[in-house]
Amino acid sequence: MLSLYLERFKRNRLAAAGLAIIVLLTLGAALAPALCPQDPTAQNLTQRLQGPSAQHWMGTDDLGRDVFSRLLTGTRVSLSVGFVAVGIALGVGTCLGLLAGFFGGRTDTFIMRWVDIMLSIPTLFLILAVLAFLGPNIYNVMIIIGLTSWPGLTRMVRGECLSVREREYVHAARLSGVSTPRLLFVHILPNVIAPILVSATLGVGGAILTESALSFLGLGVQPPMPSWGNILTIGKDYLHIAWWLSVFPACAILITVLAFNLLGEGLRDVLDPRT
Amino acid sequence: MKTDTETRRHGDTEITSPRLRVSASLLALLISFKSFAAGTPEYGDVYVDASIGDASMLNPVLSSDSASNDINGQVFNGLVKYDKNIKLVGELAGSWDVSANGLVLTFHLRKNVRWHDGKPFTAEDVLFTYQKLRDPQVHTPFGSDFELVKSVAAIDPWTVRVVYAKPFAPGLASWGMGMIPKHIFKDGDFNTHPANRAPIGTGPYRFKEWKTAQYIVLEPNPDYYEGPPYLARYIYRIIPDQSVQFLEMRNQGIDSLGLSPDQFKAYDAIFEHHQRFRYPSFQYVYFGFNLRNPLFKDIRVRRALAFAIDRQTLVQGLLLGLGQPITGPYPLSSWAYNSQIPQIPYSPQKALALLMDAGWRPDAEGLLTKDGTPFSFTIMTNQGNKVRELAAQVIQQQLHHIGMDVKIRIVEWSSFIHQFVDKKNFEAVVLGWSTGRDPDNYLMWHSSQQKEGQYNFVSYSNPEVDRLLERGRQTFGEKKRQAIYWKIHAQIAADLPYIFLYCPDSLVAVHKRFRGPEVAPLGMGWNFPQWYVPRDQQLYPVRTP
Amino acid sequence: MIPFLLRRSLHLIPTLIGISLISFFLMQLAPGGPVDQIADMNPHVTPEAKARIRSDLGLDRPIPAQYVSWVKRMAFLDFGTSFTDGRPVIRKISERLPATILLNILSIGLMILLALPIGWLSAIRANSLFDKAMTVLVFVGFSMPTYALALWLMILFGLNLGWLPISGWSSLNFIEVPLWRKALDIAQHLIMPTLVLGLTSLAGLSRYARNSLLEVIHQDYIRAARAKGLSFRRVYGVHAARNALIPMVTLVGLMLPDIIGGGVIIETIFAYPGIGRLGYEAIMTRDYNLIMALTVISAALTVLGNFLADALYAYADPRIRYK
Repeated sequence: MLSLYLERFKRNRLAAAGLAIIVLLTLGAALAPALCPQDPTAQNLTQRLQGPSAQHWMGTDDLGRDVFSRLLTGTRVSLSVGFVAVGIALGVGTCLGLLAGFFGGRTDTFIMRWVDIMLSIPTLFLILAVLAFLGPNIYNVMIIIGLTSWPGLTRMVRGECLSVREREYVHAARLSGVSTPRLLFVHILPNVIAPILVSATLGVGGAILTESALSFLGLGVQPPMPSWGNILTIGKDYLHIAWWLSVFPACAILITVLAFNLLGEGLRDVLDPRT
Repeated sequence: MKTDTETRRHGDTEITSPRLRVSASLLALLISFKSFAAGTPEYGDVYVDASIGDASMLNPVLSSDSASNDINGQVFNGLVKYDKNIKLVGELAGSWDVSANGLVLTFHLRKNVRWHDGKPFTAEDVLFTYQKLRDPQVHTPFGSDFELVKSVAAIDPWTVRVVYAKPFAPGLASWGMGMIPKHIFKDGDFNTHPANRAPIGTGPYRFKEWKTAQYIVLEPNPDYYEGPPYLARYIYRIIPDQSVQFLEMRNQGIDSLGLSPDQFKAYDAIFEHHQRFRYPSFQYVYFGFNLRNPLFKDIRVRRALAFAIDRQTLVQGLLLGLGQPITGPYPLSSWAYNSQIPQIPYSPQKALALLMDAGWRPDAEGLLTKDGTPFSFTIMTNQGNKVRELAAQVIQQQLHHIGMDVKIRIVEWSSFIHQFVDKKNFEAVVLGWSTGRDPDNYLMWHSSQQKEGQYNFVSYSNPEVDRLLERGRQTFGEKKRQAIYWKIHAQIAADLPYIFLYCPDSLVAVHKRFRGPEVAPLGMGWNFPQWYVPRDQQLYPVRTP
Repeated sequence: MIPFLLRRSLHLIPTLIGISLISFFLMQLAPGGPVDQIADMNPHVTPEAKARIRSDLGLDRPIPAQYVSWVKRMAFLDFGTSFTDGRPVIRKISERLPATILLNILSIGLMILLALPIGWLSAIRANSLFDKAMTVLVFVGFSMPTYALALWLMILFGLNLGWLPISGWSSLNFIEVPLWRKALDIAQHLIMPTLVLGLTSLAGLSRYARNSLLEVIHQDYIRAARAKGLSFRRVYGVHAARNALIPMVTLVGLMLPDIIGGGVIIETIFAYPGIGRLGYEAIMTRDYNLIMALTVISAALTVLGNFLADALYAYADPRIRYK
């Protein structure tokens, strides 16, 4: 089975490229302190807004800091936002989806009603309001993005769970007296893992984009902590004077989100037995 | 306090004392690209201005945000105004008398002034405006300017007598408040009156159209008492993003724009169609301490911090030289600024010596500690003011050099004021004041002004300064007051409740086709009704009929 | 059909109640509350005056009571007045709503217009170079930070080429020109925002179209039809497309909140007078009545949109009604 997946995956070159980029970025993020050619916080006001050069590969920003080093450090921040937010959404979404799908009845109605409600409120709006009231910082940003992006997942997990629930082996396990949590997490969960994996992959990209949108509106990760979103937002104000301050962070966001999406789509193709 | 929502977000956010609402501008010490060529003024063409936020209410009694002020300044007139040299001159009042003791002001109103709807302007309107300013039901931020007024009476339709309970030097200037028409507002709820969105004033321009979140259009007032202005339209566009504003400027979509130092110094080709103007502003930026915090109670520590911050670097590096370091609580171009107070030089050694003296010792890693606690605090500033955010980061770096652990927290304006500043829930802030032309800063420094929401939020208290502040606002005459304010300046500079950082220049671009823009001590725009565009250079075909 | 619609509309009630609860309690998160905001207009407001404002606004009553009276007033479309200018909230929203609805309809239209052919072509040539190129292309659109894309387009089409206006909803000479010029003028102003909003949300729909078509194509009846000798166009263009694309109606419904949310950025950057920007400004000024009303109204519109989508779907595919 696994080798079949691997085989299919290898044939999907776009997805493989996506994965390669993600692995590289994750490594870069993990090793950022060691890889930074310069201290990302070191200011040099005499070297403000210098274009790309041998010394500063991506130029310098409005405090004369090295943009490449800041982007590299920002990789940590942006990827953390992506992964943590998705982790939260996964936890909430999967549990609720399993509960709704497995128990049905009132539990199902109640949970699905919440899903409907969450899906009808403009998410960005909700996020903005909460961040404005509670104050924007990296933790609040991660948490609130996570807490607003579970409903789609819940709906999907529930659907899968409904179909798995009726399978023979689940009935058998049930009859042999397996406890409900065990049944849910050991017997049912592995069979719904494929769509979860796909949506998690796509979700990381989405969360990184959301953070950059929040930064544009002033409610993302706050400087001086660098995130791709806030580096880009700074760059936006220097569009006419220092193109490197917006082009590089925009490309970082673009390539990363693209990589996650291509990987997610690839995973969908590979894991979905129907295609 | 300034309540403009959008300036809070991106713009040049200031905490403004309510009285001091004339938009910031000043002294022509520096470069001015003079464009006032001799020629006959011609009618026609459109002037397009831009703002980050929409106006809230076009009623000078109710609104204090900068967008509303910009429009109200064209539509309404006060009894008096500042001329280009910052001297008070008559506007709706052709002249006035002050009694010998300074307690009685008698305004003689112009007799040829009409409201935009044709009704004559009389003393009744002045009385009505005053009543609204003092009415507790009216949501006006300017009531405090008139607290010392004992009575206002109309002697005849063109004479108004104001009696003060105590001498109040800034009192005369407060009558620069825009006058509102009684016949329009006498019926209906004042706070939500429809005329707040379709104002009737006496000013050079009259209201034509307001498309919420898009633009406000004004047209010339043909009956203006000084004659109608030349430009056929004044259009105020709302463009929330600053980089888009700059794009629109380059594309000639807007005619006038405030610039950041980096934009001002950008390459010349960007300003193909625009002329740049530079003049000292009536604002200053400071690094303020919460004096209730034990860390900052010790004057030696505050002095050390003053030695540790290199203001010259801030001015050269961030303002690109477009501003000046300052030493006290007045803008550099104010007559109250005491130029004899020496700058505290940048000297990390002296800073360290003072800190050692106060009991702080560097530990193994160079971090200052005292009794086991490290010297650690958070600088807060509001979001949206780029230069100020950067200044906080530069200060962080400079204090790090002498072994302080400084964090920065940038908070969106509304939370910043309500949750942190008003509640004194901060250690240190980087903020700015936009002050008026009158130096009275009682509200910021008097020890009675420390309650929640008041302006002495750093909790500064010095009986000598209290006494001087009281005397300053009760004394008439610039020379006599100057002596008082110089003493206040000296005392506050010694006490260092703030470290005064710099006074930035105002930087403005105006389209080259306009004749008339001129920098004066008051700033720009003081002669705006006289601006015109020669017919062959007019961009828009709109003409005054 | 009618019973289905009735049943479906009954579901709306708990949803609407839930939405109102979330909108209301969201405001309870806010520290300080609206009185701070009003007092901010006047630094000399005394504690007594503050208390009076509180009771005027009903803020001194217990929270559940506040909620009930708010919902009651809301039933009559009375959302209170805005704190910034004292105007009725409902009027502030209604003057902004048409612009947002127009932009949303246009960009959803653009999205469908592009997504269907892209999805269809990608599906019938699955894994071809075209398919791969399109996959990358639609995802590039999705992955681009919207405001960066918007600014670059402004520089290109506005500043450098001079083809399109940079921002706003109409030109300065708008009041003076004849009706057809007005329409043309607004159309020109709408092109860039529509493009940005449409292109950045294209990915979901076009991928969905591709995948569901692929799924249908592999089903037996399609293969059978093909084997029976029905034309390529008839099989893939009519049968397969019909079955695969009808469910997309509901997907568009689900995308509404994201599009309205995305409007916050688009409207802010293009100085476009819609409700997304209004909402952002309301949040930044703590204009509570306005925030609550906007959340409720935009959510209710979405619910309505979904309801319509479901009804359309049920109309097109009768099997749904009996589920």
